[in-house]
Amino acid sequence: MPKNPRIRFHQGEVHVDGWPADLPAPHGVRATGDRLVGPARLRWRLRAALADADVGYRDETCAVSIPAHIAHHDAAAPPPPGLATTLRGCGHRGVLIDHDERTHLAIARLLTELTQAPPLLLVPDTAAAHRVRSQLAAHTPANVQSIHRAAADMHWLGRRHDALLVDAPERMPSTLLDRALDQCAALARVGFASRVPPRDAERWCARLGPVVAVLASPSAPRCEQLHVPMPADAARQYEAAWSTFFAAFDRFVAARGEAGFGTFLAQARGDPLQRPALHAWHEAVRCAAWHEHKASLVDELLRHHAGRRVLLFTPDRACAYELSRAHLIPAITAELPRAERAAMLDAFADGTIRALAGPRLLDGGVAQHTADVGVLIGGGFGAAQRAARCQRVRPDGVVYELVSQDTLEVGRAHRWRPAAADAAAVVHER
Amino acid sequence: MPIDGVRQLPTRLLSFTSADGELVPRWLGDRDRPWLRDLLEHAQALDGQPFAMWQRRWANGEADPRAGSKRQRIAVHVLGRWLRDRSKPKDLSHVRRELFAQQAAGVDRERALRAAAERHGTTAELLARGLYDDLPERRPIRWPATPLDPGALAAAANLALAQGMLHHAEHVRIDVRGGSRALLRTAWLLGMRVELQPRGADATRATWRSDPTQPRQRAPTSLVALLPWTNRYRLRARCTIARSRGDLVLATGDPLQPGPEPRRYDSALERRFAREFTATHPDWKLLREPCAVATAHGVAFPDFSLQAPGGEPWLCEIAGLRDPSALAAKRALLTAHPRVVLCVPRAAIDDALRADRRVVPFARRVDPLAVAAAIERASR
Repeated sequence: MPKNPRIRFHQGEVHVDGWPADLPAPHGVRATGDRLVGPARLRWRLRAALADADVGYRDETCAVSIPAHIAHHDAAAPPPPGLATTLRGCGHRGVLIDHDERTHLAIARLLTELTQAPPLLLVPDTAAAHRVRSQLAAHTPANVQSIHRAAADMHWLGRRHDALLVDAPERMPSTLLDRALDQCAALARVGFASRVPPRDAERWCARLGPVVAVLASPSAPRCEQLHVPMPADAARQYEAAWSTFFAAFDRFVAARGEAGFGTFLAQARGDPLQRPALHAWHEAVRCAAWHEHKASLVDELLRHHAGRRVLLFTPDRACAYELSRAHLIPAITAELPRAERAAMLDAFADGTIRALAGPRLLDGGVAQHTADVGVLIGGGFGAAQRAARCQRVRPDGVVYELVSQDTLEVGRAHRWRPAAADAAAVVHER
Repeated sequence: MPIDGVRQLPTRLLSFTSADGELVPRWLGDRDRPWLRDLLEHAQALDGQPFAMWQRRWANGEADPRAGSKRQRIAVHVLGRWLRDRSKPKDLSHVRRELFAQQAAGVDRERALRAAAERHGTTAELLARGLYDDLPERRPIRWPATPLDPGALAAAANLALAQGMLHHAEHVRIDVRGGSRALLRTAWLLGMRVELQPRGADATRATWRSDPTQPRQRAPTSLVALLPWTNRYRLRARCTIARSRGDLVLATGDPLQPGPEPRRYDSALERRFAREFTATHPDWKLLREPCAVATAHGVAFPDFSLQAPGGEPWLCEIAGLRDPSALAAKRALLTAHPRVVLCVPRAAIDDALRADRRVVPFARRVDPLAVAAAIERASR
């Protein structure tokens, strides 16, 4: 009777002894006699190939025993009914379309029980990592890392975990995400996404698995779109920048009609003649994102919602600092020392501080449904970020979206909001 | 004025060519002085401006055609780091915490600012304006009173480049001779293996190998700044940088900026002996801290190597004996090495030492003639 294949690490590589002769070696692994040798990060691929072929194996790379069924769940936060079965059915690989962060924590606990070892949990940034660590600390030992850190350390970190969880992959840089997923040896891989962008679907399917469940999203807060006219000088500056950009973009479209804005950006970066147009586009975005009229409207909104928990999502750091100086609201930016940033986020979570301002780190650094009021001041990086920002606000709260009138922000606001929310949005012209 | 606190370059800025299995760094040199001078002038013009201005200028600007994109980015990176590090203002995080807490407690903005300003000896307006001025990119640039030389910037950039390349090393071997104590001590502290030569005449070798089981292990990049202080060195490191694999070779004469100067002499006694010996024996070769010698008491670094024309090098140890218990270690050195001259205070010499021809007694100063005579006597 042939012995089961034996998987082990040797001198930084993964070795498999007794690989079945009729089973082709996975891509990236070389055969030397009856032994397969490959990079350690490909352990998961070997295990997946053996599992698919229904061949029993002995994995000596870590001491993990996978039980046939889960003995018990954490009574405090059970995963949604049927989800554990669904995940088991697909070999604990796949993407969940889900907006509820409590489910993510429940699945982390589930995988911890399953693998009897802490899972590796990847989040988009350090603020989100701080938030998830503090939420998990009491219940589940998990290794929570930002995607930037994980991508740099995955060559050694990746082989220490049998379960990998990816929170909000749609908000992670695709190159870093691919690098981290490729280097990780974990066999159980679950992603939590609010949506699957069409261009990412194939990559996610190969590295995380297919979409296995779409869970009902919790009700979203009321969204009010406020159209703000620009001051005369800012409008002039915007017009000048926009026409510089548009002249070049028009020529580009005439020459390459099928190529999109992304191709234009890529080309303009490397072309000294087109670079002024690129700078002009950034200038136009900056002019529309923050100006005096928006500042006075934010002032008004803060007065109107005094005493409630408010999040100000700013277009950039300069705007966050300006608001912080004007209203003595803590600004949460990547420049701040990490301890100070964490203290401010904790103070907001426990209600000591009632308002925060920041460009990026509030998107994941504040727990879901914590704020009463959200103000999207301008700028932003697409629909995924907008959705993440809206999720910080309670379902009975309100999100104000400040849109500079007659600028590119009007189109962006329309494109980035989901269709259902679009219908429900209240638009105020001023 | 040297640029201190140089740190390794990130991988994306490493500039080298691959030839004959070696990774040859593209050093900055005298031909780069014109554009480096312009770069320094530009930085000086930003004196007092926030550091973000410097970054914005170089993020959007085009490369100087004399420099080439990568070399300019290296110089900008090194100068930027230095400017940012040297203008470190007072930490304001406690002021911010105080103000935000007051605002959350319902205190009026103006009142909170006035109270905090009084406590910190400034005005409310200045406090509000500079609330974030301690953050790295908001710090105002402070240009030094002494102008920077383009050559110093080039040497600092070369040091950062060498350190950046060495960061990717899997195996490092350093052969060093003369003035090596600071380097070897640092190497030992970094966990390198130091191979001592039994005769003490050859170079001392320190080796380091990366350990895949130690993920946080770092290559000994801090040694690069100490190399120029040695008399002769040769560093060979096996590196894999991105897709390039080869040996990085650094040797005596490479245009590296030396780090902070290690102490040249341990005592005034040694300094005086070196001066007088050179004056009285101009044709002899005197070398400071030539090598390390293994003894029964551990590792010893004899103070000098003295070599007569056409003769063998002799090691010379001057024992000031401020701590009398150190005499045992000096005896061990005498036993471990056949060509050592030991200078000992006359009062500390016992019968055993007096019988050894290699021991030179001294009172207040070490007589160079007596040392030379002892060497000649013992060589016979």
